[in-house]
Amino acid sequence: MSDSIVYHYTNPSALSRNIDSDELFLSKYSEVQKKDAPCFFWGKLKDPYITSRCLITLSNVVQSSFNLSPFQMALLKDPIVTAGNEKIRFEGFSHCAGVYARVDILPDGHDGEFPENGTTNVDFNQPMISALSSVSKSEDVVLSVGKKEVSISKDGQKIVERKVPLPTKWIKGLTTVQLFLADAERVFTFNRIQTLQLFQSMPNGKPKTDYYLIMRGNKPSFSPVKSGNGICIGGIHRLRLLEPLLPLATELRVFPHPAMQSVTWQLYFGVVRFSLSISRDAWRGFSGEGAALESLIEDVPDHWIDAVEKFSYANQEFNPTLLSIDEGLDLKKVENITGRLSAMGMLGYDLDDNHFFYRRLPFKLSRILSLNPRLKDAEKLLLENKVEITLQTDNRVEARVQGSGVNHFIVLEGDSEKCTCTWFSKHQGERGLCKHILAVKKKLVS
Amino acid sequence: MVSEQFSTIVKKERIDDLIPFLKSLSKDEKKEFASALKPIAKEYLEFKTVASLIGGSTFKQKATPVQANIIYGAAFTCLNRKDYRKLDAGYQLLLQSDLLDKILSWHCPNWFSDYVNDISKQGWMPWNFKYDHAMLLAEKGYLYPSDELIVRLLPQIMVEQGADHKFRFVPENLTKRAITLEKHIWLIFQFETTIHGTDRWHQFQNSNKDVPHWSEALKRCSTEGMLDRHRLLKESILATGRNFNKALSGWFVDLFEHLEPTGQELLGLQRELLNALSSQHGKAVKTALNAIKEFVEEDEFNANGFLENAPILLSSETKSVVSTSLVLFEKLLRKNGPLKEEICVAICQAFIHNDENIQIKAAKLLIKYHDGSQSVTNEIIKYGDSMLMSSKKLLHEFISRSHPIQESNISPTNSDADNLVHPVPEISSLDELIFLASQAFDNNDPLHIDLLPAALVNLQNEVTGATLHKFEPALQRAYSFIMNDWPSTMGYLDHLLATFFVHVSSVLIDRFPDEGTSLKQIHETFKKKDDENKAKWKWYESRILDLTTWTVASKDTTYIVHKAILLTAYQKIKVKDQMPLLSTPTHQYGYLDPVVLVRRLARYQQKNIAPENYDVQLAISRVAPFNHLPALQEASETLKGELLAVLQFVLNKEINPTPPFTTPSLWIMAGVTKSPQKTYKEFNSFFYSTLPPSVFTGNVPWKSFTEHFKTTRYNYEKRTNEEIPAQHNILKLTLPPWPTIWQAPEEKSAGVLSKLVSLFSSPKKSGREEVYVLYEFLSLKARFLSAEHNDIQRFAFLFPSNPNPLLALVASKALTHSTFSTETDKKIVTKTLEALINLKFHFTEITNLFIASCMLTSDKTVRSFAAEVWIKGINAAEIDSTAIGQILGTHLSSEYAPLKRFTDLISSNLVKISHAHNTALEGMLVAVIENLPVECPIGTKRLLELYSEILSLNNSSVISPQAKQNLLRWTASSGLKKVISSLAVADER
Repeated sequence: MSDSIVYHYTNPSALSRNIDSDELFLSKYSEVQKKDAPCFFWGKLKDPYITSRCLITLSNVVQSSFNLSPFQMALLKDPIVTAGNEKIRFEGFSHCAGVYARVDILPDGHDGEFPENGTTNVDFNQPMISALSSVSKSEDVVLSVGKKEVSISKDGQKIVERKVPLPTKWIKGLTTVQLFLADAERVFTFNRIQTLQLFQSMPNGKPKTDYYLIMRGNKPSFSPVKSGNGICIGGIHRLRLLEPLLPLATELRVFPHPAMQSVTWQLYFGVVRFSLSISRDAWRGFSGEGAALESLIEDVPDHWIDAVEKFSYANQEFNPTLLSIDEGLDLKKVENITGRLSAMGMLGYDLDDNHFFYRRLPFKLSRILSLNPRLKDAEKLLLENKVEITLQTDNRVEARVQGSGVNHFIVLEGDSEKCTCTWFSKHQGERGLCKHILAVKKKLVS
Repeated sequence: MVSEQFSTIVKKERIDDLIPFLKSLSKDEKKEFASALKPIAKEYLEFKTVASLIGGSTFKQKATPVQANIIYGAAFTCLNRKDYRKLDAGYQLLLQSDLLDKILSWHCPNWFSDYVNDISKQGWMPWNFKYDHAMLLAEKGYLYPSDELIVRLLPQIMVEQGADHKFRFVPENLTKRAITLEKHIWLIFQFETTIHGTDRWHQFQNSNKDVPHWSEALKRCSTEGMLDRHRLLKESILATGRNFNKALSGWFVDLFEHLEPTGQELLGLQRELLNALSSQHGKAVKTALNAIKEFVEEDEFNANGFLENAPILLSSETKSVVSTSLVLFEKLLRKNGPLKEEICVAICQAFIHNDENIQIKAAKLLIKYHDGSQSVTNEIIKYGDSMLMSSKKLLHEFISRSHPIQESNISPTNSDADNLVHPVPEISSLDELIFLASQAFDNNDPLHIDLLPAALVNLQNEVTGATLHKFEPALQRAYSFIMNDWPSTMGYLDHLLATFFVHVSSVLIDRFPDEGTSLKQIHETFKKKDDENKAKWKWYESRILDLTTWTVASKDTTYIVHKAILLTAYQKIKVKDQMPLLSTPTHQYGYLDPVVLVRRLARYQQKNIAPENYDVQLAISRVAPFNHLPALQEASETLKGELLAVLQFVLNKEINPTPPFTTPSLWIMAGVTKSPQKTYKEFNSFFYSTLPPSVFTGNVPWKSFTEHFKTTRYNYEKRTNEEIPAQHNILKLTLPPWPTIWQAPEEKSAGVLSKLVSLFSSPKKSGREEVYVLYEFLSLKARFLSAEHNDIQRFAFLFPSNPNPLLALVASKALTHSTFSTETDKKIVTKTLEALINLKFHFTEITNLFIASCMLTSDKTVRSFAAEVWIKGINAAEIDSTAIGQILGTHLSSEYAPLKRFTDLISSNLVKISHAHNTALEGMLVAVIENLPVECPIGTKRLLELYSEILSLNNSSVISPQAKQNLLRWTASSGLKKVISSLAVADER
């Protein structure tokens, strides 16, 4: 399941100290970068202390793992950065792909220029993270994503090459989580005092049971008792990642997914935002949730992708209607295009602005699209002619799909889809469609 | 030819011939040899099981150490990096310096340096690969060591193993190479290493305790001028905040302290010390604060920088960090500087802590230094809700008195919406049945075990030959549950349900033999697999069981209830009887709408069919606490005879049982469901009245005490096991003897004749009734629980109006010790509480015992659950807090659990919920205090502080004479004097 990617960084990222100011240089690498874009951002950070603290927390997220797979734990996965439209966003995932974190530096959070816009991997090495912890509030820090001026490399200086076995789930998680974010709604807003009180009620250890965020009067707290309006949180101990940032935040907003499949915790620090999304349970990664599968049933023509790329720039709000008008695409076909494009790693979602933004993951499209085994299995079922539609009326489709040793019975009726297979029986559609339903839907589309 | 030559070298162990041989190979020969080498390497290096002479077996490789080295050496020169890495996974050649040196001097592959550097990227280091070794390679130009490699090797630089196999610390190694102290040593401050573990090696001859070898060596180097002392101090304090793990960060703190910085040095490190305040580890912050204390009053002190850290310092979970910070702020305030207002605003953040000492300290500072500026007053008001009463009193002039707890602050978990019991959707079509069948064994919903048999009975006529194949996946799934490994969410009831479904599908196959071929094939496949397993393994017992004889290993009779219902359903399908099961729940948590029950019964009476006794009993047990009036009305119109009388008795509060009592089991079940604690004199003549009342009430005798017992321990001197006295504090419940139900009752009563006999024979008190009351089946016999926790909710939903007897079982099994002995014990208690919180029933002594014991368990989730049950119970006015307090007091007196668990629970979960809760909490605390012994347990001070807080909140005072007496006795303890005197003040008021 795991693929390998080699990051080639020309230099390691570093925080270098000068007399008048410090420079946080982030070395970047993208395997899909079309042209040589040496620098995505260069400028002063308005709140370097908070930004550093957020980046340290992000590095803690990418180094953490909450399931039982310590495999490749020691390898630090590099976060990705999207710079453009006056915003700089850092995104990363835990090893288990169950925790997603993002640092947003908003337009007022920096004073700098964006020579190019785009998305790239950035080198997060330990000395740099260590150095970040020494940034204080009174310091001037200049951030550069990529080198502004290409420096002449000294003789014998080696390009930093980092071979990272990139589990497919990491990229898959990055695409899937955006769809969860898009569905999430803000339910609670807490001030600093409430936030600290809430985290005081956090249970010790790693509770295996679900917890619920409930309100008692003005005071929020975590309770193990299921309640109608409580927000369900599985693997609550993962929220401890946020703890170092809590005393510094002015506000916390909580955005649960309507079916409680994920909860996003967004901390506000004025010009910087930190959001942490956790999956339904500690053993469940966003990667396996299959939320993006339905969007991928229909193929997107290549010229569409070209059109989107031509039309958009990094961090720009994605407006499908404008796209269809400007690029002359058939408006009907643009329906659900956001879902499809995010599943392809081309869009991110901003909870505060409530819209998708363009952000093309710095990985090959073929790599991203090859990551949906359920979709591949569905295609295999079709190829082997194992799907038979037995009834098709206006609002009901019945089908029989050959499984291992048995025939599965599938019913699609209105918005409901059901299958007799183990996956569906176990998860009841909560973790995306099973390969059998996908195959039937794909057959119907074709 | 080449390979034969090499084989000889290997065989004859001619290691001296290796290098001349390798040198003689041409490029093409090398290539050819590389592929020939692999099978030879496999033959010699592969580990194989070898029979040991002393019996058993062992893993061994064919190669001798010399032969292995010859192969590694050859592979190193001929294979590419990837293949070599695979072959020499243990870095054997790297550890053979002589051979490696000889080879490298003649041939150094271009990948060698990267290969060695990559060692640092893996989780382990090759044993005995030392810094010295790496530096020798570097000096000879073979290796360009990366920082990561150096830093992995450096912690062990001073550790050497002598010929006597003992480890020694050799500080001189640090100065062996100039580069070590000039450059490499600073890397340990940048990267996360295991340096903190090096000192802990007890193998050192001179180490009976942890000796700070490393710190001492570094200190010496700095004293002797070999290391820059200022840089050393600076780097060690910076390293404490570098996101390293707790132990390593603590080591750097120790190093910093070991270097004994002077006051002037500390002032020079001001920036770094302020930085360390952001460390995530309390120890680093504490040390930095103590260091800052030394110069906080100096003019050069960066007060602004310190103030910026106030949010982190004052919200720290380490109390000493908060209190030291307050001391520092006080020193700054004393200077009366321009930051007075900002500091006062910052100080308010300390009120987030529920600790009286901290809050009072902060409040006193504010009284002293707050000059009335609005920003400070506003901040104080913001924290009003989280202030303890003592702080509020001190700051009363700044906060309005209008901050009592609002009645509306009632937990939303107990809103009406939550108390609603939602109906369970009815399975009304074949499609729904098929999809239910395919997920029923997954334990997705505790009611599936009821819904599936009911739907199969109700919809059996809709299953036709043409639709039968749709059950294939469900049957395959049922079999895989029976045959495969046990998933963590599966209970024995899921196995039972799967077995039931397998039997039902056999009936359907018999009904449609032509169309049922595919289902039959599934049956045969699994049957064959079962037979094969049986033939293969002696220990294997057939997993495909007969439904009638199905049982669990522990012989727990509780399972008989569900089995009886499933057997009834199976019989109905077998004889094509479509009369519905009576006991199928219509609502969540096992509740059955009485109107629906009346309608189901009416169908039986219309056709003059007698329903199964256990089905009726279960239906009565599940009667929901709503719709009683309409059900009574409909029953009086559509039912007749004893069933009507029983239902009227259950549903109408005012009605007493009226004879004739033809079926005593139904009457007794109706009586228990209606009012579990009440004994009806009308039932005195029943056999069941001879049963211990605890069978129905769960009120069994219990005590928590210190049990003395004997345990066996191995005596290493005498080399034998011996018995030694031991003691533990336990909770013991005396349950009535387990029911001696050896044969399933449905088998006993299977015959028509026996049914008739039971219907017409008059009840007799002396002999055993043919029919059991369902409560009699309850048992939890297994010595160690296994999957029962996955069934417990379904057991609770059999008796939603009276789960108390089940609570007695769970408490006796899983709450013997307040610290859970196994994970399954914890799970069964958690699941029971989860079920309990949704049920509406009468709380009795056993309920209180269960809740009180849960409040003291080692698991925070269980304690929080118990707290939630209490909160809900107060809202519904159905819980007696004083009774819970008495049990808690008894438990704490016998040291069943530490008092801290209870006081933590009060401050985190029980206090300030609402006025009603505070009043109830006061009653609970009074009862606890009354029941504590003269020698009060550790933690009583905190308990009394909380009691004082509650009294202030409730504007109340100590009234109970017994509590007063106990408090007076405790004044002898110096630690309690102050808090008890504050309670006396409350008393006077």
